[in-house]
Amino acid sequence: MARMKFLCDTERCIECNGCVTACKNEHEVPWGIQRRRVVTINDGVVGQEKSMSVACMHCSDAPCMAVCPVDVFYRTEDGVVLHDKDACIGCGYCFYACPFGAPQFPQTGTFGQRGKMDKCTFCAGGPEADGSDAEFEKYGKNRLAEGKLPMCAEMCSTKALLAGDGTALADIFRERVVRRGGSGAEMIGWNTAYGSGEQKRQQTRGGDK
Amino acid sequence: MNPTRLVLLIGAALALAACSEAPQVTHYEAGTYSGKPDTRPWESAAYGGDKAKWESDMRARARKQTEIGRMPPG
Repeated sequence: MARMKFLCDTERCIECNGCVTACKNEHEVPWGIQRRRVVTINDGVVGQEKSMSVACMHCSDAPCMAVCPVDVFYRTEDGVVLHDKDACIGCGYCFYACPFGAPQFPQTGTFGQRGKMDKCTFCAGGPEADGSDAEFEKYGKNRLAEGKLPMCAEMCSTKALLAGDGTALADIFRERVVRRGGSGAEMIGWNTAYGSGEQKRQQTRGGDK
Repeated sequence: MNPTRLVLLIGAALALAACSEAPQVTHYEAGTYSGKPDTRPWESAAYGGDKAKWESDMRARARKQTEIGRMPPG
């Protein structure tokens, strides 16, 4: 079974914001909501400044799922973290829990109170009929159901942003790093989202005893 | 001091001692999903439940993200 993941190759990201624009256009995301954004890491440090495209990473052990008081989050069989907007109360706990700042809240009403949480869906829609108007209205397009990868990654001109099955991404990235002599092998954010493998190793060791 | 009082005081001190204190660090656990059920991507009209075909298409699409190997070595 595929485990959907994102990987941003910081050696390739040129901060063009093509991924941001592609996402906003594909899902008709309203003003003030940034499902994806490009950030600068080590800003101003000579030789270490990197650009990186960030959105919901669909973490293996998602903290947003753990802190949600109304349990609106679910993980699909292919590892995508989605949520039911109808049940969301807009408390904002997920925003504080998320290490990537992915959850977004539209400002609604006269006093600008928080609306229902919105975030990257890995272009997998949500708990509405696939391809329906209701799904598009609440979550955006469901490209996964059409056999396509997220728009941000498919639009990336330098192929810095990769999306898809973790094994396929790892193969592509490994090949690149070897070809360029080992530089940029950090995979910033990968361990935070998917773990370093230490937990798995500990489980394996525990099982051996 | 009255021996009964002394015993009571020692007892109270022991009862209030930290040895019986429960851990106060919150341990978060994801609850059970309470929202609406969702369909799986291969159950869409495009795939009609053919999971193997969906997975194969996704794998092929993912592999297309690399340009290495598209051109013959120069």
